[in-house]
Amino acid sequence: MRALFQAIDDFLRGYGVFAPEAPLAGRLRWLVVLVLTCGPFYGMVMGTFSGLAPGRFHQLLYSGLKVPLLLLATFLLCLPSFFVINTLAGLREDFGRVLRAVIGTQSCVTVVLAGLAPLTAVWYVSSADYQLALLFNALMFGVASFAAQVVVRRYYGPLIRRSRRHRQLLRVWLLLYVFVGIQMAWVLRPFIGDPRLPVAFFRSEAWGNAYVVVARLLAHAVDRTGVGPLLWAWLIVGVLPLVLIFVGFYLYHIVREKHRVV
Amino acid sequence: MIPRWLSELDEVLRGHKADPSLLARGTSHIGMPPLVIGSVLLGLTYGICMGLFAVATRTPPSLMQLVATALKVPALFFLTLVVTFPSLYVFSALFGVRLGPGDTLRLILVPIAVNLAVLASLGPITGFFTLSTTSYEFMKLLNVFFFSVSGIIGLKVLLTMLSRLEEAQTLGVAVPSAAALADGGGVPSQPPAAPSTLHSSRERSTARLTFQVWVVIYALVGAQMGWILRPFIGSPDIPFQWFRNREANIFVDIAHTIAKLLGS
Repeated sequence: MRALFQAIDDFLRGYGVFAPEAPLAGRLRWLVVLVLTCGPFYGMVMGTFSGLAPGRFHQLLYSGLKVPLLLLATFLLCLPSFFVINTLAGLREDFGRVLRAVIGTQSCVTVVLAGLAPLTAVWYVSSADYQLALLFNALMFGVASFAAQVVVRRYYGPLIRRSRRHRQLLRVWLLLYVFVGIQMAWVLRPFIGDPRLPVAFFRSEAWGNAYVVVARLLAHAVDRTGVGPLLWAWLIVGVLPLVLIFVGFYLYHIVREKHRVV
Repeated sequence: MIPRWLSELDEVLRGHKADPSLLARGTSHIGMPPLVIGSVLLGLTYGICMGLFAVATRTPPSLMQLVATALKVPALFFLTLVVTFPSLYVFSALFGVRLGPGDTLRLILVPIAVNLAVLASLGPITGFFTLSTTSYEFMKLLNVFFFSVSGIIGLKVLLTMLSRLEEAQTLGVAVPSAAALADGGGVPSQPPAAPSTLHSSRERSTARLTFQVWVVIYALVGAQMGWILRPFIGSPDIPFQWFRNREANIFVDIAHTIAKLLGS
């Protein structure tokens, strides 16, 4: 236990095995341990919204499992394409360090979340509104993600100093991760558990798509403007190729920059 | 032991095949059979991820669609190549690019391998969305997006290689060694010395323009080929068919898909 807290302290400050220059071997184990301890801890606190009622204790377990699951599954799904893009950009030699940085980010998110857990508990004590609880947890995840950027900077800093392409690749990673992560969070619902519904690991209607839901919501909003959906569709068709071209050229820019003189 | 196709693919992705000092001696360092095998395997991988939709959304699961999609993804790329290769060769020869048909073919396999590698690496994400989504429209747009992004990367790799080759061959100059390139550092600094050949810079820019125009043709043919080979994902309402009837084109369909996603 003491070792764990010592590790958390070192991790947050970037000392000891967590220093950016230290070898990965001594650190990786701890990074995984942090995800697997702090993540479930926050998850359990998150689950107390509905999980403390008699007969609902397994909600705590489910929520606890889901937080590390969310992070690790998203990470694993994004890894192959990130690896290929790194290789294409000529940064394969640095990929070990890149991996350290992105794994460190996951750990940092969970550590910050664990630190925020008491706030969530206080929120639950003071408000019984399910929607507000959802919002508050979304806020906590947002805060943790932003805080994790400190760790990203720490580990990515030396890489970016070596090659500016790393900065662009980091953005690609964040975009990819957020894109997949949002859907993963949607699929893994419920995290908190609506007190009016029975406890379930997955919602029966969970196999949905967050983006489709958002598109439908947008469409409803658009409907009220009185402009036909087909017109909107054509407007989007006009914008979509531009976005595609932009994304493509951005990626290509990364690939090509390696051929420039440093 | 790493299989040959994998190591060849790795070299391609690392950009070692675009090394000017190698290109100056032609394209013989690009191994055709391993690259083809690698590309087909990568295409199959992505095809399986894509075809999962028909398995996940239908009862009983349409395994035939999975098989069809897995075969169609590599076929899409190689058929597009077959259709557009002759015109590339003819025009490049016409505009004074010193590449034989074999060289051209080997050269084009590199971006196709890159394209399929990027696509296959996005496969897990496609698979995840496929399993968690019932919206056919969303899957269609996601796949269009992934194909476009990987296609743009592949074609840009092609343009880089071609212009490098142009420089290396028409100028016939000494170029930096592989070691200097290995760490992604500096590449063809300045083409030193005066060009020893008759090729003027104007001719070279004509050649480059040929390739750029060809890239656009390739992209359009590729998009339309994807439309001809459909269904890839398989609309949940329509029973399995190997091919659909001839109708409309892909761009009109993308517009309708977006309208459907927003409209219903």
